[in-house]
Amino acid sequence: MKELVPDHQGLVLVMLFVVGNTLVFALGGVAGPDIWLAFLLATVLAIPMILLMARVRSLMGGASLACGLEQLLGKWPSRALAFAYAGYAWRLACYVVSDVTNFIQAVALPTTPQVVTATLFALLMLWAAKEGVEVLARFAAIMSKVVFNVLFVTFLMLLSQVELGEFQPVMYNGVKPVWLGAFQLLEFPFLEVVVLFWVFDCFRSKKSPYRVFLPGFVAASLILLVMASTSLAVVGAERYAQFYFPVWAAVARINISTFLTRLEAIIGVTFAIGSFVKMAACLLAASRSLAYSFGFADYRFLVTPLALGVIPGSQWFISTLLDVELSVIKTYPTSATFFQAVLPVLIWIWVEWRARKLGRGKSSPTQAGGQ
Amino acid sequence: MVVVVILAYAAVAALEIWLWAERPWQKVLLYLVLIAAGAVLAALLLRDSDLKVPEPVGFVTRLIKRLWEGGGGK
Amino acid sequence: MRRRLFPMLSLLLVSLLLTGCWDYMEIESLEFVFGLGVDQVKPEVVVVLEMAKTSGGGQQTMVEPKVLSTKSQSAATAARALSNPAGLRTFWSHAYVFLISEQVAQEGIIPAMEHIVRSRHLRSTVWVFITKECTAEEVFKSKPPVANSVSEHLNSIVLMQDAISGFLPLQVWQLNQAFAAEGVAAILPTVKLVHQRGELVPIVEGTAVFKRDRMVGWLDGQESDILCLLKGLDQRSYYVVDTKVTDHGYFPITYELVGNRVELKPLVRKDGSIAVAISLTLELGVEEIGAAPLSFRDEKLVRSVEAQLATFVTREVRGFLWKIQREYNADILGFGQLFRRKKPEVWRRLGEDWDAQLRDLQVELDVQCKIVFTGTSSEPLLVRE
Repeated sequence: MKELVPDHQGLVLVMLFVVGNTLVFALGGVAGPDIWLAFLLATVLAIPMILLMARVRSLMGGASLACGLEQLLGKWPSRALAFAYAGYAWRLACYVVSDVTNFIQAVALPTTPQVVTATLFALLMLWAAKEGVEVLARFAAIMSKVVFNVLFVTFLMLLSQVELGEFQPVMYNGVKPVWLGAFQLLEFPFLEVVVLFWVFDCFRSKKSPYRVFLPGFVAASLILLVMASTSLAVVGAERYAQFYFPVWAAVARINISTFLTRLEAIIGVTFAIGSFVKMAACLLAASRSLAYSFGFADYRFLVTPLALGVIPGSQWFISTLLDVELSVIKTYPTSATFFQAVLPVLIWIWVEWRARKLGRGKSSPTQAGGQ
Repeated sequence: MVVVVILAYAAVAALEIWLWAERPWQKVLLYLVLIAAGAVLAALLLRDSDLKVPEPVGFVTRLIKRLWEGGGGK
Repeated sequence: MRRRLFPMLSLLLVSLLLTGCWDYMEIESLEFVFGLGVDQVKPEVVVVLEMAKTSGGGQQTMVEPKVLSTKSQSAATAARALSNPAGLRTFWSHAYVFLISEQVAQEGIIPAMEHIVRSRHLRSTVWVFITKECTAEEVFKSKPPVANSVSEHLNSIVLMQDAISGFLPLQVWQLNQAFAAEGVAAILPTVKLVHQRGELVPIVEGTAVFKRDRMVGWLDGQESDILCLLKGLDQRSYYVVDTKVTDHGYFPITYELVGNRVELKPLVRKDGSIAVAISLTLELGVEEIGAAPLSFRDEKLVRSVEAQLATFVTREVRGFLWKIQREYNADILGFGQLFRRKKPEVWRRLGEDWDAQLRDLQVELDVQCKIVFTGTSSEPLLVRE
């Protein structure tokens, strides 16, 4: 069964995936007042990688992910690759769940054990992943209206508290903080988009991957840029990186003629929705690629065990809020570099070479290729 | 607690497999292996919450680095 | 049947999980903290709480404030320990005010306020005050004439700030930001007790000036108004100025500030010395002229009044600047921050030694005053012989 996602829904899924669980954290905090430069730099650096992903996907033509991979990479290499990314996607799901449970514990339910919130989210994403990518994309399309409208209104209300002087002086400490900030952003959340490569089964046309990934990513990075810079201008450049959740702190300042206050909760809601979409997409990617790597056409039977694994997994990789913060502010640990940058580039080179070889004589690789 | 958690995992697995329309052995095997892995992880975490996370990629890069440096030293 | 069973069982499972609420609290078991204060930090921390137990409901809701205090090793333990004599769980998110006594402020307020900033129970929008010539406990035990509790009284004063002037209200996060920012010194409004109908009543007036986290001096109400002026805050403060009206002599006339535009510019002179240019444009209304024979239809006279006002404000600002630059040497106007933002190369060179720079910093002052409003009449009261 082919699962087809319309382009506009796919685009929104990409947007929600990137905005997802990242919004509340002190993104690019090392860059200080130059945070907007760090965002722009990171976006510029990430675009080639996004294009490269879209290119690989586009070379598969109208084929589903499994067929396309086998044609281009061959059976065993693509299975090994899928296995590796299944691990990566599952780990990312654990991280996202952990971010949410820690956030909830920090701001709302201090004495509720994290396992309980993790279990609830695991059950929820289990359900979403079982429904499949079509339903998830539709959910994203509907929920994005809520999320982005809330963010827009929050942004407007934050404007009354913005102090533009916080962005001055520009690059007081040179370019190094900007680069560091950009690398923080690339690792989390920008290049985590690689996981989405494994989520989509089919696209409408050969152009679709470009239409889905590129605008979705750029829009999401702009939204993050605006929200992060606004919160920095509200809480102060010096304080921004000191908070676990600067956006939360900034929104707490909103005070519209003393009656419209305490709006933090709505940010919490958008965070929960975004995180839910992201963790469901990760779980979906993990199940799909794992099923493929063992040669099963259907992935749904793997969703439950993987989701149940996420519950202890979220406690395993990250156990406290301090670990969450470390995972947010670190600049390129080895495994992330490997999965987000090195592997995609290698695949692309290989695929480009294979496509050229296969492309001789026929216009599209429709024949079952591979070994 | 460990026993309860393992029982819970087993119960979920049994229930879901029972619900399947057909049960090819490959699928059942993979399913059970994954459930067992999840249960073992949960059980280990219950006993020791600071369980170390393995770093396969990190291990390889460290190995390469060591080999590289070793080669350079000689 | 099989298809139905799974969702039903999972729903049952979820409902099982939902019943166990760890963070469940009955409102009857809560005691709302309205205000907290720190009266001493060394050798032990003395924390004072103003709490309220609400009773009744709807129209008959009664709020009875109670003041409790305790000594402990830290602010957090002291605040926690007060749950015990209170007999109820203290609930913090409704706190309005945080008072720090003068003595603590002189020793440094970080140990007193760090817990407030870090704690997730308190909102960062709590108002912070320094108590002048009294302790936080005395303030909390005073009797405000109308409000139910001292905290509510202080909160409502703060919300009227633009109308009553004489202080700059500040919330925890702003204080925190002022401490974190480079090139700007912190300030806090002060609370003092005055006699009113035989009772002690707390009022908010004046400003405590800080250098890092230690209080180094006070500004009175009038000086605080000048500070507001220079910070560009909207504040309708009154000024009584002895104004010369043609040949009739001097009359005390009351002016109200209705509009205020301020521009601060860092200057680097040719010889490398630095200065700050302040240009102030004030719009004033006339509130009371008393017996002064002052007709605002006489344009020449109005110009002369405006010029006298500009001279008056210039003199006040000069006095204020002398006080903060020389006497307290605390950069509460953020001249350092101004240089850091607009002339980073200057800050890089002189920032290390800013205290000395501030002492001798030249300030070029340009004040423009304009009368824009004279009440309901442009003429003095008519009194026939």
